[in-house]
Amino acid sequence: MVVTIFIALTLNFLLPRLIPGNIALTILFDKYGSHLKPQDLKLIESQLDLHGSLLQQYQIYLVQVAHLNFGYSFYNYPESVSSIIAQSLPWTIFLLGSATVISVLIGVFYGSYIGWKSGTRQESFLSTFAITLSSLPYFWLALLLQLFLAVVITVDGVHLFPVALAYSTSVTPGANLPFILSVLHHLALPLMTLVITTYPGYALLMRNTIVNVLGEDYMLMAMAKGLRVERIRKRYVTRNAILPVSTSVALSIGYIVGGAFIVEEIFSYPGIGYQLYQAVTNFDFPLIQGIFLIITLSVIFANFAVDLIYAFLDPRVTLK
Amino acid sequence: MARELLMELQDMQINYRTRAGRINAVRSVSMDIRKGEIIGLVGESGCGKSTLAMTFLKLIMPPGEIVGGKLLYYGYDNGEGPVSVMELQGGKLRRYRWKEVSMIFQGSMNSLNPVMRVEDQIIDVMIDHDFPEEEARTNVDKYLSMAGMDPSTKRSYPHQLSGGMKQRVAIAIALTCSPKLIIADEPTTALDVVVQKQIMDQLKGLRDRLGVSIVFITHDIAVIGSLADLIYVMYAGKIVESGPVSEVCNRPRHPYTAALMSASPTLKGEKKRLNGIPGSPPDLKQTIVGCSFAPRCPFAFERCHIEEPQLKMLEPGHKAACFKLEDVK
Amino acid sequence: MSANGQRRFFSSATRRSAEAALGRAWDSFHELIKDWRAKAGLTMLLIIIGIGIIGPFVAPYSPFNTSFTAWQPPSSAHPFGTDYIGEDVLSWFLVGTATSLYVGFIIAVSAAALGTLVGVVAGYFGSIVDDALMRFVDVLLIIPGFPLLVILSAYFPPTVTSTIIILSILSWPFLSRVIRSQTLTLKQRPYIMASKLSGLGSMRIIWRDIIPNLLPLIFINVIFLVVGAVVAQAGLAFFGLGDLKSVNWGTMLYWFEAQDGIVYDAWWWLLPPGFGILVLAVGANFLSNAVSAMTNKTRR
Repeated sequence: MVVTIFIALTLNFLLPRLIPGNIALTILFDKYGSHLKPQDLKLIESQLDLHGSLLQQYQIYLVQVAHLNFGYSFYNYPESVSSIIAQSLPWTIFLLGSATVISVLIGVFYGSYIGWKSGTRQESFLSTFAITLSSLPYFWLALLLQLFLAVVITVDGVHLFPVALAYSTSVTPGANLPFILSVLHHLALPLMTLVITTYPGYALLMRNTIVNVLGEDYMLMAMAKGLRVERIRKRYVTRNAILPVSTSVALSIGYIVGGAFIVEEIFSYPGIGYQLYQAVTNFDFPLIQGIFLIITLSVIFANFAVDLIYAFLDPRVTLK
Repeated sequence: MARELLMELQDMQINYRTRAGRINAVRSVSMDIRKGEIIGLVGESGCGKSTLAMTFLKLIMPPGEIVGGKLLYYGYDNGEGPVSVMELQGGKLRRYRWKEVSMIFQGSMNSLNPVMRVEDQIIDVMIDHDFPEEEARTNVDKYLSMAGMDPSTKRSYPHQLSGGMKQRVAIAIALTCSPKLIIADEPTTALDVVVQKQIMDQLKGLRDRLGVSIVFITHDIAVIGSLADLIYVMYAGKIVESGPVSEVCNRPRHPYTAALMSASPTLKGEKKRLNGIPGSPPDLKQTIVGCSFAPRCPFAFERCHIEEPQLKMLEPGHKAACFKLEDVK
Repeated sequence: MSANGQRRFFSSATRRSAEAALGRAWDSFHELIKDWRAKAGLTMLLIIIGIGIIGPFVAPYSPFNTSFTAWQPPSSAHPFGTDYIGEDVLSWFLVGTATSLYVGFIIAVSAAALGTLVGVVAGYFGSIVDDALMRFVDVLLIIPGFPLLVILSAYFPPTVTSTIIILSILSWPFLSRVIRSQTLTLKQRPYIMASKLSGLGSMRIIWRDIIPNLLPLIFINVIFLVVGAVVAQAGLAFFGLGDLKSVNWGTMLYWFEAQDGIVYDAWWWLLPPGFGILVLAVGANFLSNAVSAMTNKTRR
């Protein structure tokens, strides 16, 4: 984990410095030079100013990162990168977290169901359905859902779901019911997109591991023991089949992040992916880098957390 | 002297359907099991003895299918006569399994659930057979020590135990519901000789103390000599010889039994030359004409290749299926 | 004579073991195609590839011909309607299929080359080389792909070449793991041990005995890499990265979103590129499902 973090940090440090002639600054001045006050320009310049040897710069960079100081956003100047991230990260964690939990739950149940029915027509149909869903490009699905559920179809002249944003402008953020309902209503479509494209992968994996577990000797023994069917399902089959699924959850987090980003962009969901999209269109390089670093670190930590959970689930694995 | 009948297997026939064709794994096997008796079932690998073992618990699953025969269980003392195991369904079958007949599986290393503690695998079977949880919990230590295990190992997971210990756990689990019959399918195969001996003694002790019947399946006829009361020798899906241990081991009547005897070392007794059995068992996909052992038999004559010998009573309790029914030495 | 003769000898040996490996692959292909999913998957792939090959020649208009009325729903003149500046969506789709596949193919082949190289080297030489390379691959696999893609693209000029380079760099690590494990098993085969003992050089063994046996595996993975690259490329274009002037499925979706196709209910503009990606992905997934079902069966 330490190695990965170190490489991510270094990559993030080196990338802008490998570009000849500091494109970042050039683009920035071309675009916004006329809008910014001279003292601001100076400050931005000093932020990008690359004095001293690479090693010295690297030291300064590491110290800054350790203080969560990623500099200032170009576009939203004088707002700092960390404050933008702090505002948007919770939305992404909310969306991504709920999508992951729901996908895993649906995937495990769906997969167990078809795993038990392995070899039947129903299983073949449901697997094929899952394969098809898992092939849906999420950005396209997002647009389809948006087009049909938020624009085309109306019930009594009212759209089923909002087109964009995380909550309605007519509610006041806080711990009140209208706000919470509005948040959930706005979450629905982005969440649906992610769940529909993510759960089939878990379901198919779950199906395969169930089929493997059913062929294990301890299953035969469980049958011979005359255990109740629910006990065999829960403690013998699901308990063992869940192990490979939990590993794949870890591996797929990085992938779902990408999906979540595009979905955020489509639904203007104010998470970190939407900020990244904004940053890319506005050539806001400090923000791009800050977001990349935070996301990478989060994914690495999420992986680590899943490893811990795995060690808890599988007694054969011990943490070193 | 005659003990009470516990289980009766009549003319059992089991096939496996495979792509390559139908395999006749068990071709008409009959067997009586009496209370408190240890039966040794001996044969080479692939002779159908493990398939037969599964039958006692109605565990034959597709692609396997029972195509004929009966299995009658006399162990319920409710005066309603024997129960046909093949007709047990649902809850009745579930309660029959393990409470009436339990099993020690071949290669117990893989038959324990890797993610459950030893004690939980003992407790869960008891709870599902209607023992109160309290009782199940307090009995864990008892069953583990019966199987020669230190009760302190109950908190372990299977992967933390050695092969011999896992085997003992499997024995402990087999004892949990005080079954009347235990099927032990090569319970000592993967173990070293010392542990093997200990486990055999353990099983014998259990029979003496609890009066449980045991069907002990092995490929090694020498292992069983000191343990069993009766021996059934199986070849190519059929019983070729059966009888009391002393009879069968000292005066084997079927050439195959004799060959098995000379192919395995004795634990005690004089040194002797070990002879392998030349050739290999017949292909069970084909219909076998004549005696299935004839192609490998040094005494085979014309009739052996044309006609199939039937089991014949030679002395009280001692049967063999061979046309050359005299001592084979 | 000797150097020349030897070279010819080795190249024909390479060809012979490649032919043998491909012959075996052909047999398994016959077995595979009995599975209806394999048949359906292959058909889908071939349909899309067919559209990609003939599409640019049969496109009714130039994709950049803006002389039609904008936002027209499908009609006989424009079966797929028109977009926000009156370009013909069918022509965009036909030409876009070709571009998407072409770019995807280049990415897949270069990623496969890179992945094979790393995988074979790591698997064949083992020890420190293996450790170092696989450590590196693990790191690449754990870093979330899409943000990395975005940050790299942000620093590269927005051209098709950049897209190809960046996606090639990011697509190979998974394949290298597959190739490595296969190389490890190949290395244990008696004939490779024999080659080693007879003092044949490593490079020759790799070229003559290992690579040819990996070909079927590489071939299958190239199919999946193409699909992965097409989807990633579309995602990238959709995020406004890459060459937006290029005509492909991704830029179609990008312009749909950027020009508020949603507001105009322009479903005819949204459906074609999405269906293209969907059919391609379903085809590949069906095929992969059938392949893994077959390998599971033979293993048992």
